[in-house]
Amino acid sequence: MDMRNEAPLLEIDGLEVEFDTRRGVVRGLRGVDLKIGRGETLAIVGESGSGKSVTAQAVMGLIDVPGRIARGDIRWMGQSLVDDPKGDGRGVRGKEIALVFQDPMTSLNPLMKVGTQIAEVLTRHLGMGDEEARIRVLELLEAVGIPAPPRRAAQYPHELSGGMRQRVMIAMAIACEPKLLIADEPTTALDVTIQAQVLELIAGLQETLKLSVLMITHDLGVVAGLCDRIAVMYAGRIVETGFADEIFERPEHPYTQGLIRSTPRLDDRTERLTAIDGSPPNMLVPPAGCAFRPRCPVAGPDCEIEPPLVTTLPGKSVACWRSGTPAWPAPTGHIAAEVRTSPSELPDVRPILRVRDLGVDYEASTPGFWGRMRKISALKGVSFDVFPGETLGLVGESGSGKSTIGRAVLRRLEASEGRIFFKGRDITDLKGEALRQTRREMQLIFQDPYASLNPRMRVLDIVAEPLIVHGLIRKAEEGREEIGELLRLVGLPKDAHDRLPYAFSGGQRQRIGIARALALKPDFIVADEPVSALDVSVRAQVVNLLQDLQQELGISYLFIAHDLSVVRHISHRVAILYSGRMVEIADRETLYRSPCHPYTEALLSAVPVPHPATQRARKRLVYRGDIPDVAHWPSGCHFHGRCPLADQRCSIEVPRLTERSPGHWVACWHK
Amino acid sequence: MAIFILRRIAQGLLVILGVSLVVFVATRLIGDPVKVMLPLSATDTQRAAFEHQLGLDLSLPRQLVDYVGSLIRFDFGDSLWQRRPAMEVVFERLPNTLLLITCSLGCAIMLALPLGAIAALRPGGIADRVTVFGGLFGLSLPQFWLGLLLILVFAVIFKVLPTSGGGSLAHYVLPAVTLGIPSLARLMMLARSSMIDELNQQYIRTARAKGLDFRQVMIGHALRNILSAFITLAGWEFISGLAGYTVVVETVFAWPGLGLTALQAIQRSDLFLLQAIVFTVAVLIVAINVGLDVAQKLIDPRINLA
Repeated sequence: MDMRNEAPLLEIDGLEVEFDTRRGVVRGLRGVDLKIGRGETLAIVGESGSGKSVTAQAVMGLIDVPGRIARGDIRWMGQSLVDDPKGDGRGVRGKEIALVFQDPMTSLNPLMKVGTQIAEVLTRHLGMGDEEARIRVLELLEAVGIPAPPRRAAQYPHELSGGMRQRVMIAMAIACEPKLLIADEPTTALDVTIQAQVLELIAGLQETLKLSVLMITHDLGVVAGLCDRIAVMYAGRIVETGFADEIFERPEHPYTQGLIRSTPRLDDRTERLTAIDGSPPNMLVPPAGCAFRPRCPVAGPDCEIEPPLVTTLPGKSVACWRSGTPAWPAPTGHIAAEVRTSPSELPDVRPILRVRDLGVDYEASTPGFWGRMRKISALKGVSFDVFPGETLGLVGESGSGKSTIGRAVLRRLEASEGRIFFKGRDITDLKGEALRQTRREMQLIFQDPYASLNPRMRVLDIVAEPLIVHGLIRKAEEGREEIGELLRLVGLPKDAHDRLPYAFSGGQRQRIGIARALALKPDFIVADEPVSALDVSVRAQVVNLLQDLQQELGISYLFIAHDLSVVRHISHRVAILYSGRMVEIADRETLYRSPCHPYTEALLSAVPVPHPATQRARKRLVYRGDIPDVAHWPSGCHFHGRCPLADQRCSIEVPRLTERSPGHWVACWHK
Repeated sequence: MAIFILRRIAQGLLVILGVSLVVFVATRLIGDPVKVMLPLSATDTQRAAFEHQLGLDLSLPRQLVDYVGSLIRFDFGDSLWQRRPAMEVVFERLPNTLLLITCSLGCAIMLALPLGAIAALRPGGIADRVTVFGGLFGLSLPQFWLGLLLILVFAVIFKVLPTSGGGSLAHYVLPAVTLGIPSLARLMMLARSSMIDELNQQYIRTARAKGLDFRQVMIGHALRNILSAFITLAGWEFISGLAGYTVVVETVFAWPGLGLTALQAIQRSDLFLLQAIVFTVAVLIVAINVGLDVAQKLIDPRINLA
């Protein structure tokens, strides 16, 4: 870790990358300086467009036309990688520096056996023969924890789960025992429990192979447990760099301060999140001076001159004229979703939504000319209530059925069994006009703010559409005033009416989607991953908005998400799903403080906390194995294959939800 | 795999059966074959005799049984025009057509892959623009006109190639080029666009990050992965050549193949010969499709075996 006496492995010096586009030159990197020593783990943290991935690509020589390295140098053990006449990375690429990409689904060649894809590296760089390479491939698969290597090596990527594929990527990366591993968002596409497995693998390999790691991520939690040093990037520059503990404890740059404070924490009190207003600058026309100035609460006239990255402490540098100034108001102690008595415990409060024994089946045909239809059960035996003014968080990993519940409740998907009651009325079989009337009172907020708005419709038309559909107004113009009020409510500029969606940033688009959901004044909103496509700082804005709206209008939310920290922050009660079944439901405090089901425990322990000291002290329960595929559910409790408590009974009988303490329901034979 | 192939073959046989029934219905029920085949001046007795000779005076179910029987024996009766078994005529002419298509398509494939790949390296670059322009140009040339133009230039003016007919290798050049140019254009455009898609895939970046050299990335990863789509189109080019374009090209070049024979059979109202040709082409098309399915399955493991 001590790198002062040793020449660094990788040195990046004043690196500038530019992209020539039709509208002008986009400045992707604006002078990045970075050093990584032997055995060191450095994290580059930043939001989308900050240039963190471009930095990794530049090191790997993967900057493609229209991009180019405009200035600066990248040196590998003293040798320049930029000045590379043969274009093959001087035999360093893939051998001494290896890269793991974000998405294991698309990063492997779908038509090539995974063993062959690993062997390619060996024959290319180490000149191994086929037989030698084959044996080494099996060793590598073993090393990254893939069971039954000979069988797996002969399989194609689509036959492997996401976690498995990421292990294959890692095997490929460490094949030549590189000195530096660049991991570009290596766990972003993975489920939480699988992420924990992969992070553990990387940490283990780092130790055994004495690897240096350059970790690129937007997730402060991932950084906290794994990295020695952190570099925070904003708008193509490093704004702050230093030792991890230092940065988390005493962030100096206003952006770093804001970033850390806008990230909800699993172990935290649920104070209102600090939201950084605005959004990252357009790098086609970067603002003069400090790029963060337009969003910075402590910016002044001197910030019109770009601040240099200066060393403030040994090993720590900050690029800010006011570094160390507390930029954001101190925590007020104001609790966000107030820990008031959950409405479910009040007498005489009737739930707005009751779901009993809900099940959803899909029909899937077996492929082929004479294929038969087969019933696949995506959801079974799910029951819960949502009370007026309450947020119920629905958490689960992929395939858990959380989105299916949302769609079934809104009657966008037919329930195969069970009943759904809305305001005391059975809506399971409603049809025609009665269903339309019910839908007025329940609305939906979508995940992807880019795909869910028609790009050719004005904001006014988008928000007016539900009003027109339900016959409240005939033309969008009639609702102009009302819609103006809605836009003000969700914090959009006054002149938003007549503009098209492309004129807005991701966070603003999500506000448009929220305004549309609010147009019919619903009492109940299903929010399906409403913030997971947004950057950290923008996510905090939208979470705060949803909470404000609830306080003001008394709306109930069914909040569907995979991010346990956000769910903890926003929900009054939380339900945990696993493979189409509800395994635990309780009020927030009970569930997060004393989880009961072994899966809930594992899930909570797998969520990294964005605080290095805390994260190091946490005990992580990493259970092996994958989430079962929806088409091949196991018998009995779906978790029994991964559960340390499982016995014979668990593999035969399905446990039902039973009440352990008031309001705390668990489906487990043992706890 | 064996089950997969057997299943596809079984499905193919069903299709052939369907085609045969359509032919049966079309010839017996919709029109009167006797009227079509005999000259207008034929007397009623001549008609009756002819009807009897062909078995058309029997009941329909009986005719159907006979028809299916003859299908199995590959016996479509005698060609009225050539006065010998229709199948014999087909088997005599078919190889010429198959050879012609194979030659032209073979050259088209060999040219289309590298041209498309080179164009895809720099979309919007000079090579790409030339390729796209050439592709559109090739697509918009009508074959009858192109054929005549080629004859005029190479056979009439420069006298380097024969104008028409078959026999020597030189006879292949002009018809093969005429037949192959539109196929080349389509295949090249497909190779280009699928290569552009493929090169933008994340796994190509992985391959480059692994430090593989240009040749390994292009041939080992990208080219291999567009083959599935490419082979499908090539198969279709073969089929559409067989089922249509050869008629035009063979007519222009008086090429002694199946296409020209089909045209002649139509002109001479030779229903039995036509029936034999349609049936043969149908069988070939089905066979090629089965072959394509198997090739796809071999290239892309994601295609389900069931």
